[in-house]
Amino acid sequence: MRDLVVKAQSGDRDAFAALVQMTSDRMYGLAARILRDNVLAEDALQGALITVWRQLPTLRDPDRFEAWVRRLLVHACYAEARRRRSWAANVRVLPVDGPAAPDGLLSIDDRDALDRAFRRLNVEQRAIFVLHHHVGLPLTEIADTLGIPAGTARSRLHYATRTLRAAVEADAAPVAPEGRMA
Amino acid sequence: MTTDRDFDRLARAWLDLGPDEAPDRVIATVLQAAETTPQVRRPIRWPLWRDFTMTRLPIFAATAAAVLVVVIGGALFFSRSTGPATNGVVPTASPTLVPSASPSGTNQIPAALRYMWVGPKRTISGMPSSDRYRFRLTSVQLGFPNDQLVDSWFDSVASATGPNELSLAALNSGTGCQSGELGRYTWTLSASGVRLHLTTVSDPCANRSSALAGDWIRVACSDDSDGCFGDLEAGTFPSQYVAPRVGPTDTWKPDLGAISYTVPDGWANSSDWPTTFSLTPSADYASWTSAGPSDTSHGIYVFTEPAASSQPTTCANAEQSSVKRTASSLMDWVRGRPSLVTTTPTPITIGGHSGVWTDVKVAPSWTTTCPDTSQPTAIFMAQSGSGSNGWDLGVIGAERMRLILLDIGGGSTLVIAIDSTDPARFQSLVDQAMPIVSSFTFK
Repeated sequence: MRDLVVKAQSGDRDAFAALVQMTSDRMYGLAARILRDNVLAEDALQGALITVWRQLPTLRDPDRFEAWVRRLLVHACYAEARRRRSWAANVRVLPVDGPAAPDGLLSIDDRDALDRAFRRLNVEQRAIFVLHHHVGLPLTEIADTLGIPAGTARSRLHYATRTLRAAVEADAAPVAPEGRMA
Repeated sequence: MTTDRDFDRLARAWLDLGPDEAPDRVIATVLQAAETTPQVRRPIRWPLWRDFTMTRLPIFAATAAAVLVVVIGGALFFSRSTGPATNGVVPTASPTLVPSASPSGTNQIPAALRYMWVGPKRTISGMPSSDRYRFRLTSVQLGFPNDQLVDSWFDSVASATGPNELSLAALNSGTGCQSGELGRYTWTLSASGVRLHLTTVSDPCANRSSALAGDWIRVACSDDSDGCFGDLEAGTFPSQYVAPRVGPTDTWKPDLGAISYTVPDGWANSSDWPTTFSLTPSADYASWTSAGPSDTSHGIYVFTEPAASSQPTTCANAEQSSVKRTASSLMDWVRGRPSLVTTTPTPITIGGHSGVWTDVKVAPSWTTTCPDTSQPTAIFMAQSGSGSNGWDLGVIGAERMRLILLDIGGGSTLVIAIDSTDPARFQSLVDQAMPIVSSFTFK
């Protein structure tokens, strides 16, 4: 990948195309999970990748390409989320389509509880939760990626985890049979 | 109760449900954009323009050698401020001072000039025609991008060569000047720094002189994803991006002065987007950050091409196509919402166009919330534009809104909302905002 980055930095569009092919699926998955809205995720990915192309010559360390792209993408997600929020009395959040849980671990109730609780988090908390639990990054690397103090990353993850965990636990308590929205 | 390990497994399983394949259309769009978008070049090229990505890639095909454009219009917005200028320097034909490639601290461009500046149509040979032009100054450089995102013209090393004088040395040939051509200009700023006037002293690159000489308005938007003007001064200004008569799927391009408005001191243009536009009291605008506004609202908000929207339990957009998109039909729809309390509709004329207004708030009996709100929420209008161009309009909790619906011709309708999430400040906001709204004119 390093060679491709160096070539793309010098304006090689074929190298950039190869980099896009190598990273776009992962980046789209990240954006879709943070934003919980496929259309917004597409906008964020598109904007971030165009920024990547334009700013590639300013990347000092080609070995940090993917972390750099991830950072640009997360900031693009912030912008998409806030742009949407600034004009909306309520943010329309659409369900993310996907396969059923692979091992039956996740009940429909759990999924619904997590969906609803996740929507109550702000986009910064969402980003850290996804980077930690889905991408698997340690907090220090998340902090480095996002350019925030490690303590801030830790507190955001703590809040997000507490909120989501409380939602799952509340869901596990006995409830009236009318249930909830599917 | 779940253990930490249980929860971590649940969370990972839930996150695994999301998509993992980027849509081909996004990749194709990105690669197409890369074909026509120049890279930032250090150190002689330009930092990224912060206001280029206005929507889902509104990149238009660059036209070849464009025809000269006669300057028309714009005089109202770009005429000089009546306030005192910060200089009275009369340009002289003194010998030129050739700037180095990196001006030292003593001859860097003054901070008051280091902005993007927007101006009206002017004659620039070879550059695709546009309703507006703009240039950007940093401490050491000038660039003149066009709206097709494909070129930055007149890239020049910029230096301060006198109290109100600057010089520009062309960095390369082929984008308007020959490499090394040195131009000299004087500048004046209005007292608040919002309006700039450039006068050519000498410039062998006549095209650069034609592009730069004249009046400009400062772009100083707090939100770094927007290209709005930010803090204004008393006077009349043009909008840049909002397109009152363009639907969510129509072709769009920046349209300087699609709306013009007159403000007193103490107001800011806080956002300007193809489908939305806002003006905010400067005192409130001061709390906006580079990420945009806080969750509160206080100001004048414009929304284009509204549709009636019902409010299902999910609060997802639910446009009602059976409701005509006219001011009167939409007003009937609003007044029929059980979620709202409205005042008697009052006719209004703005910019020669007829409309009607009412004040709205959430009905005391209404308790419905949305997934993202904790207070009663009443949604009544929307535009289902793609991605970031769409909007929903409603009120939450104690929020108060003066809702103005205006038929602006050609079958188009405009929403102007004077809105505050602080009910105690609503009436004073209306008192300040109505004269501004009444000043609106439309192309």
